[in-house]
Parts: sequence; structure tokens; C-alpha cells
Amino acid sequence: MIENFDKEKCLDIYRLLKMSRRFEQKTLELGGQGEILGSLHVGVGQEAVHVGIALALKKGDIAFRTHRDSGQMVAEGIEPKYLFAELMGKINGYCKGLGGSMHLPGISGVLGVNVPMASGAALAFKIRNEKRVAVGQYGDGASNLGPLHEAMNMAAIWKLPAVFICENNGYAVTTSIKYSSLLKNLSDRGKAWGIPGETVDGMDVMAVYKAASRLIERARSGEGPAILECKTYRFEDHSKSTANLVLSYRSKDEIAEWMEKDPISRWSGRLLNEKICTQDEIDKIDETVEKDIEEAVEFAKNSPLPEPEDAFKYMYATKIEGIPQKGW
Amino acid sequence: MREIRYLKAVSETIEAEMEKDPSIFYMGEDVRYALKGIPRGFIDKFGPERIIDTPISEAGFVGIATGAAVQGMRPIVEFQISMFCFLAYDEIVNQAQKMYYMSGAQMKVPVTYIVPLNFGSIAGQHSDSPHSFMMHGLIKTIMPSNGYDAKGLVLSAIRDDDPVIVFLPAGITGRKGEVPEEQYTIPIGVGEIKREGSDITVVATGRLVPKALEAAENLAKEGISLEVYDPRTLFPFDKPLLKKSVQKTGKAIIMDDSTRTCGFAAEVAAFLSDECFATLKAPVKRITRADVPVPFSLALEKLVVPEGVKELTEAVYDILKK
Ligand SMILES: Cc1ncc(C[n+]2csc(CCOP(=O)(O)OP(=O)(O)O)c2C)c(N)n1
Ligand SMILES: [Mg+2]
Repeated sequence: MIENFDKEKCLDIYRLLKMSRRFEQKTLELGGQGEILGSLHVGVGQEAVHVGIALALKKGDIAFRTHRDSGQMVAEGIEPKYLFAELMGKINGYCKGLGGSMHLPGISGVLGVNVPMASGAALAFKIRNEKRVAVGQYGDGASNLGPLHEAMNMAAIWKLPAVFICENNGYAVTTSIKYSSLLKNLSDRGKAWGIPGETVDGMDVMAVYKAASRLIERARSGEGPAILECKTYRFEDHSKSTANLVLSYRSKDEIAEWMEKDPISRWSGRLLNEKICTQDEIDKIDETVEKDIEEAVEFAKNSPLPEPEDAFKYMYATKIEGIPQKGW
Repeated sequence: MREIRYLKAVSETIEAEMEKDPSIFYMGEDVRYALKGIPRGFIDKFGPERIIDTPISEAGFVGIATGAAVQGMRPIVEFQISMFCFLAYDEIVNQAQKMYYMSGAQMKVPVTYIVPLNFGSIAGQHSDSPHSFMMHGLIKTIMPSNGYDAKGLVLSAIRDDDPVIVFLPAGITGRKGEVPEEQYTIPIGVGEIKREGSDITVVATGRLVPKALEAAENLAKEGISLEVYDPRTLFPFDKPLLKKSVQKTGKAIIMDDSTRTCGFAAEVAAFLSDECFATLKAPVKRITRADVPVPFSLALEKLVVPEGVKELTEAVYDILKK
């Protein structure tokens, strides 16, 4: 037992961590082979945050995730085959091939909007008297956008059932958060809105889970929103395209130091240390994860492309004759 | 003459002007590392006072640029991705642009916005070409189609006393072309006939200019003669030059990368109907993006964003048959 998790659950947490990582790594690999086009922002290194949040959400809760969080979608139970198909622009994709990696539902390509979106969802829950909670995630870089601050204030004054989770991985592309904020802990910004703010070790899945779950339940009980900052790190470069630029904004030592805190080996290490499971059991999970990922990729590869009319079919929910116009 | 890349032409004109004019500073996200390729090496030369990395706060830093401009600075503001100028639309259109007029000509706002365009499997929120929004906001809008024009126009933009927005077209800023070493300006509002012809006037913008030239080259072999007009400045576009061309050809096709409704092409078509009605021998044709967000799947993207040569060639055949 770790916390309230029995052996089976502990192993499942390991599986989710691994699945998130392998999913993300696979997208990069497929990107390299030209099977996946466009930009990719992988969350390798940040799995403890993604899985921690996924575990803390209850049925009916909703998360608005960042561009780096498709691994969290997997941890939340969205089948990777639909995500792979989306990233390949296929009809069976999660968004019918219309959105791509930066525009999946609950993920915005524009930074800073997740907090307003989550606050809006929370407002709906509150008006309808549903005991649901919305989580709005954002990066350290996105924490400096105006709409985010405006929405946090409104969420605070209206005591909305929302939790704002900052994935502070230290950088926004090349820009260090040490440059773009004078605060040591971004959770201190809670003071500005009169809401609680906490900072946790974002490389420790249990720490994230415990704090997120406590703040989510607090919001559910009507006590209003809070900020949870998870200090974490991305092991890969900002995106598939910046990786080619070989920029020197992070030192090799710094990267190595954070790699030491790898959230997955940390969790498996703990399971082994506390004699919750054996290496064999972990290896078996690795095998099934690999198999699941391969099957999902196969599904995506075998999916057909969208039909031409799909480009225009989904423009308006309420159709009006004559729009959308074509371009030629 | 030496050949350099389009982006290098933009970069060197800014660099030379910054050496001359201490009131210029360059700000944007990740500009110290020149993520978008423009202020490369500037940080070593001009220091962090004039090469200013901003937090991700578009509305905020565009507003700050306006304030600095009113106090006599000449800020250059770079947007990392074209559509994030939407976050600062109020700051650009409702503040920076209106300041001079509303203050009874007291407050000048000499800001230059640099907006790199992009598309190609990056979908919905990363693929728009928002130049028509800016035209509608009455911002001086330029979109150079090659390095030579870019160098001269960007310098005019920096020296202009109003806000000017510069769109750098997708896909062509890596191309090499002849660009003089010395500084020169190309006036804002002056277009250029990029190829003379007699059958149809093709109005093309940005990345679509080379496409129009390619189509014209192909069609010349079939005895069809296209005249290619590059406005270079979209607002205000060069009306006398366009009028002269259409008076000669009597036919026009407009090819532009904004969506169809209220786009640049619609504005040009309205002008032609106002001013060239008597000389037109065929309906004016538009080739634009479709009125939908750009879909992710490449199979669909090509139905929404014109490739250029293909659609233009079809439109030409269609007009000449009539
Ligand atoms: C409003 C806005 N400005 C700029 C960008 C371009 N951009 C995409 S990701 C990114 C960095 C974001 O940093 P952070 O929020 O810390 O998230 P991380 O990438 O580190 O996960 C930037 C600048 C954007 N998507 N939206
Ligand atoms: Mg970050």
C-alpha cells in the first residue's frame, strides 16, 4: 500500500506513467519518419504531473490541458489509437483529422486560455449545482498572459469549483521563468486573488496526486479555486521544430540533474524499495505498454484519410445555406 | 549582385538602422535567441536594453511598445506566430492606430510589427494569415514577396511615423535573391508589375507572387500572356498602377491568402468594380482561402489553402473560355 493505493493500483500508476511517456516518444519517432506531420510538444519528463492529475480527477471532472499534455489524455483513458490517428491526419482521428496535436479538445494552441476555459466550465457546474470540478492547466510561460489573470480573479470572487495547475518546467521555449517572473514560487500569485497557492515536487506522482486531489475536493465542497504549482522539467526540446535549432538556453548539467529525478524510475524505484512488486512485474508492464502502443500505431496507419467534403462540413453547428464559402 | 536570403535582408536592414538610430529597440518572445531568425546576433551587439525578450504577454508588450513610441522611441515588435497578434488586436487597432487621430495629431506611434506567417500541418490556431484584419483596422500593411522588396519596405516601415505591420510570407523567407548591401527604401503604397503581359492582370500577394510568376511562365508557352501585379503594400495598395494594368488587359484575377469574406481580394475586386467597370471584359475572379479554419490533415488543407499555380491556371482557362 502506498497512500490508499493497493498493489494493483500502484502497478497501474506505473503503467500510466509508462504509457504516457511511450506515447509521446512514439509521436516523436513517427514525426521523424514523416508519418506525423506538424509540430509536436512532448511532455517527456512531466509524466508525474500528468498522471497525478489524471488520478485526482473524479468521474465528471474535466481538465483543460496544455499543448504539452497529450500524455495526460492517455493517462485519463483516451485511447492512444485515436490520438495517433489524429496526429496522422486520419479520419478516425480524435478530431477527425481537423485539429492536430496543438488543437485537441481541452488543449488550446493559444496560451493562457485554459484558465478562462476551466473557469467557464466551473461556472456551468456551479449554476447547475453539479458536484463537478474543472482543472485549468498552464505552463510557467503561459502564467504571464492577461486573460489567465482576469479569469483567476473571477473564479476567486465567484468561488468557482476550479483548480489551476501550473506546470512549471522552468522554460517557455528559450525563456527561463527566472527571467519572466520575480517570484520564486508561482503559486504565490494566489495571494493576488485571495486564493490558496501551493507548490509541489512535480517529479513525484504521489505528491502531485495528493495535493491535486485535496484541492479538487476542496473546490468540490464549495470553498473555491486554488493554485497548484508543480515544479517539473521537460527532457526534450520545446518542440519538434525547435529541436533542430540546437539552442543553448539550458546547460547540460541542468538537464542531467533533472533527468536524475525521472518520475518513472522514481516511482518504480519506490515500488521495488518498498517491496510492493518485483522487477519482473514491471518488465511485464513495459511489454504490454509496448504492445498497446504498437497496436495503436497500426490502427492509425491503417485508417483512411478524410473525405474532401470534410474540410467544409463541420464549420457551423447550426447550418446556414451559403456558408462557408470555398476559396476558389 | 550578391544573393542573400529574404530573412537576412530583413535582418540586415533592421541591424543597420538600429546602429544609426538609438531610439529603435526590438522586442518579442525568444528574440535574444532569434527564434524566428531575424535578430540573429543582435543581443551581442545591442545588449538586452535594446533586444528585449518579453514574457508571453502579447497584449501587454504591444501596449508597452505603444507607450514607448509615444515617448519618441521606435519599437519593433515581433510576434512569434502570426495569429498571436489577435491577442493584441485592441492594443494595435484601438490604441496604437487611433492615437494620432484622436489626440488631434499630437501623439505619434511609430511602431513596426513583424509577423511571420506560416501554415502546413499546423492547423487551426497557427495557420491564419491575418493581414486583412489589420487592413480593416486601417493599419498600414505590407507583405513583401522577395528579399529586395522586404529590405526596402521594412526600412520604410521603421522610419514611418505610424504603426506599420509587416507580414513575412510562409515558405519563401528562406529564398535567396539579389539584394544590394547599402540601405534603401521602397515607399509604402507603391506596387510593382513583376511581369508584363496583355491578356489578364493577376494580382498576387506575398508567397503567391512567385506562384503567379510560375503560372505565367507556363502559360506563356501556350501563348497566354499574364501581367503580374504585386501590390507589396496591401493597405494602402497601389491603385493607379493596378488601374493602368487592368485598363490594358480588361481582365483580373486576385490571388491572396486570407479567407474569402472581407479579405484583401474582396477589397481589390470592389475597387475594380468602382474604378475599372467600363474596361472590364470579364468578371473579376478571386482565389482565396476558404472560409474555414485551416484543417490539420494535409489531405484537407490543400482544399482550403490555395497552392497557387494550379488554381490560377484553372482560373485563367476559365476566364479565357468566356
Ligand atoms: C498566446 C501565445 N503566445 C505565444 C505562443 C507560442 N508558444 C507556444 S508554446 C510557448 C511556450 C510556452 O511555455 P510554457 O507555458 O511554459 O509551456 P511549456 O512549453 O514549457 O510546456 C510559446 C511561446 C502561443 N502558443 N500562444
Ligand atoms: Mg514552461
